[in-house]
Amino acid sequence: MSIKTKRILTAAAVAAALCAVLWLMQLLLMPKYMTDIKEGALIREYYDDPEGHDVIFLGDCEVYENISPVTLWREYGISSYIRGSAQQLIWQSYYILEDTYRYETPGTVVYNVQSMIYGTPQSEAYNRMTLDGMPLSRAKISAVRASVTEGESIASYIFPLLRYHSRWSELSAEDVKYMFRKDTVSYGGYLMQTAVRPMESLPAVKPLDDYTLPDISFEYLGKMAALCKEHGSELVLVKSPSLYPHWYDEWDSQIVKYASENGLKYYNFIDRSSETGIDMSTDTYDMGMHLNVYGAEKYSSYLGEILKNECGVPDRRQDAAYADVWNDICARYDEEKQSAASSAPPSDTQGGDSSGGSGGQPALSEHPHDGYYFTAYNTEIGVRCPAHLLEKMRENGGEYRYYESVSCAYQGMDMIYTFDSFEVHVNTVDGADIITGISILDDMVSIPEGLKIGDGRDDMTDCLGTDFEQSGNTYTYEKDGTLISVLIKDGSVRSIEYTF
Amino acid sequence: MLFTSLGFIIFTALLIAVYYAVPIKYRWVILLVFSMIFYAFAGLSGFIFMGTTIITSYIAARLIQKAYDRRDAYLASEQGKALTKDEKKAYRAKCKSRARRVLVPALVINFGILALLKYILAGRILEGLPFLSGAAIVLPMGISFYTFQTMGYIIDVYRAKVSAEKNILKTALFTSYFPLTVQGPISDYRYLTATLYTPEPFSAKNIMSGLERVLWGYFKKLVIADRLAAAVSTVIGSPAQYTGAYALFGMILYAAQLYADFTGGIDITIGLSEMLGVRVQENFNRPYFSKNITEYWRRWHISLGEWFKEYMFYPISVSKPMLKLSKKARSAFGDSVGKRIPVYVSTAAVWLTTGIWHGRGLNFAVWGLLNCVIILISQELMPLYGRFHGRLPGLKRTCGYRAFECVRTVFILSSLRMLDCYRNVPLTFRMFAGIFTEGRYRELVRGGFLELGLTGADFAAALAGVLIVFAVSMMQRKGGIRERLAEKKHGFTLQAILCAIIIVTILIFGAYGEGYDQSRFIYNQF
Repeated sequence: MSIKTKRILTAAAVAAALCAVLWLMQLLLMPKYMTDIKEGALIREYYDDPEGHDVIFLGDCEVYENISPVTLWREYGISSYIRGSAQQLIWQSYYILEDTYRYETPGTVVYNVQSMIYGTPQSEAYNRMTLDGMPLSRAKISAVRASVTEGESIASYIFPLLRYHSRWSELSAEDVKYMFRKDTVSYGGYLMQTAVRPMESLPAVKPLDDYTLPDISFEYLGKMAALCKEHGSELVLVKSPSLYPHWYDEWDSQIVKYASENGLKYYNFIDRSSETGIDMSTDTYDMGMHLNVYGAEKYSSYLGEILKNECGVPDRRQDAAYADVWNDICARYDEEKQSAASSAPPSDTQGGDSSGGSGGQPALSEHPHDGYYFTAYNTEIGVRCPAHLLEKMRENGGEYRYYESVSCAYQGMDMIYTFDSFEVHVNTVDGADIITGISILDDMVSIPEGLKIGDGRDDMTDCLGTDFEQSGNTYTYEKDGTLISVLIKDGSVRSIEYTF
Repeated sequence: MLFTSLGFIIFTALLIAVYYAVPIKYRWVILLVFSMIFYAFAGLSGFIFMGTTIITSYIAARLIQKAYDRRDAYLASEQGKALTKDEKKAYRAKCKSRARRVLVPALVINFGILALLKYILAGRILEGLPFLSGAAIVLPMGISFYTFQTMGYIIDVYRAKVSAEKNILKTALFTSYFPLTVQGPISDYRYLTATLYTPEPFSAKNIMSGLERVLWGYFKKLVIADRLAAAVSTVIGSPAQYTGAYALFGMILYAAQLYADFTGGIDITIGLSEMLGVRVQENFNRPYFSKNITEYWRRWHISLGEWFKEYMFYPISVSKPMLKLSKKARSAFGDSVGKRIPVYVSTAAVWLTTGIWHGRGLNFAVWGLLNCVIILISQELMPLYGRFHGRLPGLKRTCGYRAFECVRTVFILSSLRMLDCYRNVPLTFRMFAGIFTEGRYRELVRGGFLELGLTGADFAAALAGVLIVFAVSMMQRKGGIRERLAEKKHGFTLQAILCAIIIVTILIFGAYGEGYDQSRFIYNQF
């Protein structure tokens, strides 16, 4: 063997060994989503058994937490799968559907329209949870291209090691345990929630500058309809019965119009509680945003009737091949439901007035005075300030209602404190609860610069100056990284919001 | 295009594939094309200035060469041979004067562009110009490096050390060879063009050895420099908050960051060139092992020091005004003091220029002059050191004393670099004084260092990286590691395994991707 051949063989062998090591490292370092943030495991799980579904559900948390395929099977013999993940955007749903068709052709595709409100990629963390689970395919690359936020690289979705390499310092036993195998965390794509946190009040409904749903959402909805048509599937649009975030009538009418113009069925379940039997005092696990398993079963029972009668989805209960698969799923489902019922208190009435998660956080600076701030109850607060300032407000006589829901913008929960005339949003950032937004709700308070709801445009420029950026009817002022956005409609200030 | 970007890796792979696919005599053309593409990624406006440098230096070199060729031809002719010695001398001087009339405008144009862009216009907003109104003037990539390199070339032609290049495209390649435009080294014309225009043929040895060097550079840049960058910028960015021990800590971290960043970038440059069969001069020689600051400057950014020595220090030292000054000083103060004055003046001029080369702020000028003062003081104290070591003859050879000398050098240089960090002279002096007066060492050690934007794991990774670099530097005292590895029985296999290990280490422990800012090389800004 010549030296040249020897060297080529050596280089090839070392390159192969290198690829193997990198592959193993990637398996080790990628998040497993087995015991925490299980939403991240949903998209991948489908590929373990990607066949035999007559209905595919697409959408965000309003599908994977609100619809129980087990109920659909038990009551109607409907074999379905939920292809949803946290804040799954419409283009992601489209490409996931495209990918689904590589494995099977469902007769009915149900798309939950909530995510149509987003016209741009929102969060790298949610992108990851949706896209990392897809195997490499043309659909995946298209989904990545459409989804990447600023600073993200497409290559890191193809080689996730490039994204997750820094997890070397936070590896746990779970990473080793689930390196080569994964547990099944869902039931046909459904993530079971068994807690009960009644809905007592909802955050105030804020007026929007523009109620028009983004063009790109309709573009992808059109592509989804065409894709379904091409494969002979029926596309059905639904709006889940979740009550928060608020689903505006203006949004709904656009969906209604689109559906009627394109011959699609559209069902809005928000106002059908009397028919579905959903009771938000027992059927939600997070105060109205998502349903718990009891609510999901009621909603699914109602939805199944429609799928059976209006969409003609077949009953497969007599088919042994289907029954074997679903019996296993049902058994696991019952086991988790029963074990949760026996171990958890029947109802968690946490929430309500004056209970918030703002204590015990790392000390941040009190009001730093390096941007816009707001004063109420002898307390100054601003975005990026620690949330415990809200307790100071309460001590000074400011009563608030507390509400929390899974955050769509941050990891963790959105914590919303509603005072009489303003609302404060709190999120956990880098381990600390900080104020991420303040909204003025009525004209009973004004901001320190003197502006209040109902004032005119001239008042705005008198108070805040003319150094603003205008986008539609919204005027945004920036100071040391903090923003005040003023919405002016019909000549008067309709909303004032602090963000950063 | 950043050296650390995926785009650059693809660009390089493509270059190597195309480069070795064409016959060796055309490879320089491929290099020129890829250099232009690389430069285009940094902004098309840079071509205006680089183009000016290429054209002016080409014309100047050719005209100078022509003048010398004509002179030589005349002196070799019957007419020339008939001249007396004095007439020949006068004729030569006349020709030299003609050449100078070409050289000076070329230098003025090119250094003028550099000065104008770097010290007067950079950062300003253009107004009132069609198409360009509102655009900010950005310093073209590598302008300090390629201007110095190309001006060195025409000075060498003027000094008749080299012949002028006849092909303008080759002059263009010498000016724009892309690995050098990021942060040097400022290469000598003869050394670089020996292999740039006619590179070494393909060899697995060059590829493997070059790849090792490139990976080593990436290791230093991504595992150490870019990881430490967050903590360094936190400390520097809030001088009021991070005083005392924090400033000292920041200074130490910056010493490690700058070393890993600059030497890492040069490793990539030299390694990549080696893969292409092009030899580039070394720019570092384990500088942190220097016993004193003079030695350090012989071992750090060697090409810049050599440039200033060759094209500034010597010419000033032997210039007519300096010789006059020397004469006057000797007669006024005696030989001992008088002979020093011209040296002091030349040294001060060089260091002031070196400082200004780094940037337009006063801090850079002060940095340069302080270097000069320390070098001159230590030079003056040499007899004292000599007497001290005469009394303790064995001390110099002990490991402890050697280590003390290295630490002392690094401390002095790191202290001076605070001017580069804070970029404000009074603030820098305050922060330096605070190291001794404000304390906070206990606070820093008891967890304060973890609030600088890096986790304990990050510090551990960076420390491990520094220790590896230190260990490699120690091993290099006995010669190059790559060369020694290649000479072993299974050298190629060992080198391939080493490359694989470095790749895995970089990919896992590198500070890149989400959560890290992809940062350019520090010296790229100069």
